[in-house]
Amino acid sequence: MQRSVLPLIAMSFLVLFLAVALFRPSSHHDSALIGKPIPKFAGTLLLKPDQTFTRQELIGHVAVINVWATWCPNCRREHAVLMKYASRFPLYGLNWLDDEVKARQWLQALGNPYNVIISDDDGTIGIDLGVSGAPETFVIDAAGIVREKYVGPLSDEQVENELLPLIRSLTAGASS
Amino acid sequence: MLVVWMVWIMVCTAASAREYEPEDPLVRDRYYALTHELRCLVCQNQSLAESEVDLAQELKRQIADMLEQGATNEGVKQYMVDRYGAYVLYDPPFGPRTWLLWLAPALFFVFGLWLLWSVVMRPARTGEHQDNET
Amino acid sequence: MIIEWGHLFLWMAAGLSAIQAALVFIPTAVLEQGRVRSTTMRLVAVQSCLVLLSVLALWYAFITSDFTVLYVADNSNTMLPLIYRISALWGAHEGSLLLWVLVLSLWSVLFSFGLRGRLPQVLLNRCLAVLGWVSLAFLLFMLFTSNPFARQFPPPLQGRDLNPLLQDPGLAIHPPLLYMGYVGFALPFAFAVAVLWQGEIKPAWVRSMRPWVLFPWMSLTLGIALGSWWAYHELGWGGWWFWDPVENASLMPWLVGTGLIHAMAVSEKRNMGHGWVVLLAIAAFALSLLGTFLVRSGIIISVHAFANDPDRGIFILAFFFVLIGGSLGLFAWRGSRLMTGFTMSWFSREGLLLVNNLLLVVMAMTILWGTLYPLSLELLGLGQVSVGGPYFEKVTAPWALALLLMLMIIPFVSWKRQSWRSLMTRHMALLGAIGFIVAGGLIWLWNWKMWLAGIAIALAVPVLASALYDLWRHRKAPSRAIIGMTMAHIGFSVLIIGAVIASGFKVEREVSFSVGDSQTLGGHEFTLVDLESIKGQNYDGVRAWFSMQDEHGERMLSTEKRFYQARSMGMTEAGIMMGWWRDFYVALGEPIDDGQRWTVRLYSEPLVRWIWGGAVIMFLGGGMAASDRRYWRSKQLEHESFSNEEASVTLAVTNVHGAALAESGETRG
Repeated sequence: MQRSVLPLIAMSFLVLFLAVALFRPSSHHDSALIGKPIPKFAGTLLLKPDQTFTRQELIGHVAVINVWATWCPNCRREHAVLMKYASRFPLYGLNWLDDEVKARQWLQALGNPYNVIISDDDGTIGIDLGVSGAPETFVIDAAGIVREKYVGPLSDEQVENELLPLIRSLTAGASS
Repeated sequence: MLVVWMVWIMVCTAASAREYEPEDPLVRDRYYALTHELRCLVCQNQSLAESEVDLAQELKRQIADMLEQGATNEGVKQYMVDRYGAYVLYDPPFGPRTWLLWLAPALFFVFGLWLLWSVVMRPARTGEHQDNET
Repeated sequence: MIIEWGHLFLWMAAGLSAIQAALVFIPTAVLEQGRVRSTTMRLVAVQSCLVLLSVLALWYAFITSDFTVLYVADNSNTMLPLIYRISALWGAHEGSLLLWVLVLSLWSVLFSFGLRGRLPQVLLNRCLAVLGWVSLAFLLFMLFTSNPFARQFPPPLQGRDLNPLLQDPGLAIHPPLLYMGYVGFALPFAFAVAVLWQGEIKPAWVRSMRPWVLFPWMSLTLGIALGSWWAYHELGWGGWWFWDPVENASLMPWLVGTGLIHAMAVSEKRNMGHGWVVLLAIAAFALSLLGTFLVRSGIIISVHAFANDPDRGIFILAFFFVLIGGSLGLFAWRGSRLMTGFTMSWFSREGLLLVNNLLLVVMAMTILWGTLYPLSLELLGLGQVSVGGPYFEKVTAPWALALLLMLMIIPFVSWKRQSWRSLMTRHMALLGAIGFIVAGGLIWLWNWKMWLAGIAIALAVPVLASALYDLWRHRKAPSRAIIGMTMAHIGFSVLIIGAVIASGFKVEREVSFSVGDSQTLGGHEFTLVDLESIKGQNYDGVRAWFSMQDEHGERMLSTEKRFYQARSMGMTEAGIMMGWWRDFYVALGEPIDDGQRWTVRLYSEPLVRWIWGGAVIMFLGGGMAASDRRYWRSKQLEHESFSNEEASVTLAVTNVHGAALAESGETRG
């Protein structure tokens, strides 16, 4: 083969690669926690500041933890979706890097979709969960293993097509 | 247009600042070296050292605490990787996923040298009409 | 109405570019006619006037704040100072494309006049045809996907303002310079395609082309330096290079362009390696286009990213494939005609220059590899990694050091063949001694802790010495090319010294201050003296006054935090105490306790100014070299235009070439 063809071949590969990359589905960075047990944590409850909440209380059932904050515009968008589906699964809130007073006002104004809300105003629980932004949503199975993590606001479609089926299969798996 | 910028700036300046710089000058040097090697996860292409977003500040505080309590650099990196994945390391360690990354420069050089060698060693096709010039 | 005219002019310019591009289909016999050339040159001139007029139309819209123009509404504001309304033209994607096209048109005009009589008419016509294709591609891209003249009715009452990050004098001129570099590499690209098409290349042509590679290289050098300077004092992190994908995208063509300049010296002086020159010329432009693609397609996340738009990405990628694929196809088909083969010894100037080329290209490839690696892992489903500064610093440092070594030796090695002994006896004793002393001294000084910095300095300082010695050696008959080359080499070593010291010995602190608090950094005491609120034309802010105290007395520094209402963005203006040997840098961070207390970043940056100083010296060196008389001779071509017979042309060329060699050979030993 002529050596002068090499540059053309190299460039074709580059273009092919870039074209594939251009149409890749938008991705988020994967959580280091998926497949691992949720780390130990303890936090106070937003609405009952004298009570603490620990990891232990999440074990034994499929749980969904939603990370939110009042300063996050996407959380407001997601809030409506959560209100709609909250009764279908146990939803825990993690109020992350937030002002507690503002958070309570938000819940009063918009409604509270959460069973329990853990307050994480200094972000330490968030760091242990590897939270990098709000909103994020974790799905945890009955054994306390993190199964899935959604970055960004959940949409109706996402809840219907991804989250609910996942919860169903996890629940079935746990009871069988 | 420039939506990327807008979001980036808004996210990255929404901060309530705190102090976290370690007291001991030696620990401080390590702290700054480390925060330059760890990625701020929220902002685009910024290290923790450069970022002022809330999460980065919390992480910096955490790192400062760990260092002051005697954690090693590797310990801090491992702590971050356990939570955020290998993505946080701007200086990716040599491993199965990165050996091609680290070895490529040397491979390029060897390949280039070979190419150069083979071209130079190949007999010239046209005569050297320059040789009898000067 | 003026806006419609501007839009129309762009379409007309595209039409003229299409005609220019159609020269490809005209047979050689016709292209040889003088009439065709003068017509083509007029065509190019008119085309660039049209583009200039449409730029003026858009400027008019900016200056009069005509918010019916979408682009103006998005990037300007009635409160925006006039100078930034002018620079806002290239503040975002659409307008910067217009600037791209304008720069290309102006380069084409200069090129066609500058090389008239210096390149054969046919070849010049073919170069212009290729430039026509490039220009057509960009005009169509702009007109179909990113029209800067798109309008909206009714207009908004107020514009969204120019991105505050861009409201800085440094950044007002950084894009035009950078584009002059990127786009300027279209000139050697056009030349490369034209000689491939022609199937022959002559040293005299390469010689005439040399200034036209130096010009874009100079612009790119200064453009990158300005970008770095801007990042230094506008981002507030005290850094001057972040290995961001967009910065990498500008560094890659610079490295390959630098290689091209050196390869052309070999090709011109020794009549060999033409294939390599052609390939590098294509690569330099390809990397410029690739940079454009990376910035505008949103394919890679970058601090500088323009917009995430895959449609634009696919358009750029398509014409990248057509232009670069086409030219590389031509190279595959006809490149072997230009390859004369190399006959040389390794230890000769040409041999070492080829190794230097290899180093530069490997450096560029390494940077490309590191930039795209995270993306490729992700595509293969292997998870995510981050490749950042620490990686790039480690993998480019060895090549940069090797380059310094080459730089120290090559000017003293003669063409064709050099024996170690004569080199040693004639020059190296001096240099070796200097290098040894400096290396020994530094290693002792740093006690091996900063061994990389030690090696870099131990190499860079003798390079400086050797460059000065080289100048002294040529003091009797200095050609501008040699002075320019030496200046560029001095600039490079100054830059390396600055970069190594600035990154190795930077001291930083991030601390909080209330009024009256003090902190020390690098033997200086910094005290927050006062906080005041300020109001600018389109922003509010806070200014902090710091006093900086040392044994020489007290000096004041001010740093600002600005808030731009229209975009609700905060910006830092760093306070910098500049110095030849060290900069002190203060940047206001974030407020604590409602603004009574602030976090502040303090940096001590030794020799940071040498980085940009080095780049400016390189720029001046390029200019000096480009003005060398040898590159601007046109006599040899008079023979050619009268007779196209191969023999006589070759004879004419070899004569001139031989004379030139003899001329420069004298001085080089």
